[in-house]
Amino acid sequence: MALTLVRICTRSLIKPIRSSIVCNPKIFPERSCVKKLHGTKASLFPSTSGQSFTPVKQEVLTDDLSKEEKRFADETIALVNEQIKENKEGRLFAVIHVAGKQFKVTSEDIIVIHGHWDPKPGNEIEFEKVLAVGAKDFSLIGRPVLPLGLVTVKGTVVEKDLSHTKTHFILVRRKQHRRINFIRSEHTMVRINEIKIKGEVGAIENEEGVRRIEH
Amino acid sequence: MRNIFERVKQWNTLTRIWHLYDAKWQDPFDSAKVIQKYLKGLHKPIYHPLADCGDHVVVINCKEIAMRGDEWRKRAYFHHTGYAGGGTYTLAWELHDKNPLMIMKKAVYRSMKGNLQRRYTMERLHLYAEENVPQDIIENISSVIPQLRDVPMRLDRMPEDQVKGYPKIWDLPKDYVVR
Amino acid sequence: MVFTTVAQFVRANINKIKGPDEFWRKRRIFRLTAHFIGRKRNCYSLAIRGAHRALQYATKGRHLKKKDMKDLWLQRVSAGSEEHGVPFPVLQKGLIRSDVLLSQKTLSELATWEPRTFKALTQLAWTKGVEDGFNRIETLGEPPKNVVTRGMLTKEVYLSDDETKK
Repeated sequence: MALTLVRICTRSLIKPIRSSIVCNPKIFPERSCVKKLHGTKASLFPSTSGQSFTPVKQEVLTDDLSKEEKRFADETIALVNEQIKENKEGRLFAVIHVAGKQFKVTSEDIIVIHGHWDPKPGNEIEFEKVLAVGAKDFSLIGRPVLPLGLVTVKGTVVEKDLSHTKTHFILVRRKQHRRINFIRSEHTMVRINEIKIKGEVGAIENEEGVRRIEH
Repeated sequence: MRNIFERVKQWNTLTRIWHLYDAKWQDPFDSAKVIQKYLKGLHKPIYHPLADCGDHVVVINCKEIAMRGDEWRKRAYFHHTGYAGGGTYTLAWELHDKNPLMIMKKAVYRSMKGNLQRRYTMERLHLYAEENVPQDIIENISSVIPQLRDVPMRLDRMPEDQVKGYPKIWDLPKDYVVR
Repeated sequence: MVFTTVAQFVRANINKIKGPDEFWRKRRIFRLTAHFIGRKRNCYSLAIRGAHRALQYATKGRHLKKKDMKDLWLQRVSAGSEEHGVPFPVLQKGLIRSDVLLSQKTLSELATWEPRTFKALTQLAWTKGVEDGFNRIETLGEPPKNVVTRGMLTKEVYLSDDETKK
């Protein structure tokens, strides 16, 4: 059944989704994390002076919709959950955000991360910034990331290597200026081991289940 | 390649599609911008400049293209034979009289960047002055490019009863001579 | 380069006052121009110019390649979205406003390999455009009916409970 084509539903927005963009009280003591969600970039770090930092609390929004639409949405989400429960979702792909870049991956892929990146060969990693997950009949799209615990994307660092030698050559004609440098940047190969939908789609997390990126 | 349906899916992605474009009452220069997109394959998400993923476009009714304002009289096409004093300027209406396909062809040719690929891309463009297209080409067509403008109905080609049935505010005097 | 004796290695590298031996100095340049065509390949004075030029191009080309890829992704995403009747600006604005922050590269990959997911994204952006009243959004025609936003794409949400109490 073509859920992706037929139905698109937004589920109640739960706070943890936002939590990754909450500013740290140590760094921005004056800023609180209050404002419109959508809109301009400025709303990510609104400066409301004079307010102390308040921790993010979860809030469940009520649906003020017609019965028919609510039924339609609930039905769709139930279908998705049912498929996940019966393991009929097929092979999944996920869009993950790693080291400033997005990768569309599926299990058994190898991704190459350019530049310096801390993990060492043999480390097993769970990618938490999952922007989207797609299956045979449905896709879950995060705004901007999917709630923690809904999807697990796991990978293993396979190899660390250097790139081929890149020649950085500068020549200014008639000015006796010539510089040559040889660069080899770091490459990290990560094997994606598994992509799984663990949680229930549309489920409301526990109220204190807010995790913030701590510095 | 699992089964026969997936094979067909791949054919659908990689084969050349034939598009039909009706140039009747269309601006050739605006149309050229649209047509070249299809010729190069810019309308596909698999596009790559080296991939040769362009489609065929069959343009009919090239004879009935329209130009803005005074373009028919003011636009000149330059041609040089290569000999001394061999340059000639032909006005658009003159060129169109001589060859009704030429203006459309040149418009599409000029809308593309001059590179080695341009002449091969042009070979996928099929121009026809009128609606009668050879059968072997009609057979291939599977898609239509929408026209840029709606073609208005001309009064002299409207059915007689429709003209007569049109609501009028006043009637002409009986002794009025219509020139 | 392979040096069969130590003496050759010294001649090629270690003579600091004179620089490397002439033969080996030239040999290095000729290694770089081995795949050139014409006199640029074997005549030293032309070869060194060609080698310098080639190295400069290589340095610049690394930046140009990134730019070219961005242009290509843009082209592919706009082609993909126009297939579903949504112009690229509407897709881009609609997705950003509904906080779907997929990059251009990801979108182009989705357009090619996951067409159904991509179609869903275009429809989402279209609906957002209708809800927010983008300019001339009505010219696109009938918006998709299968999108249930539950009003949550535009609803204002406050993150702090202190704010709501005040």
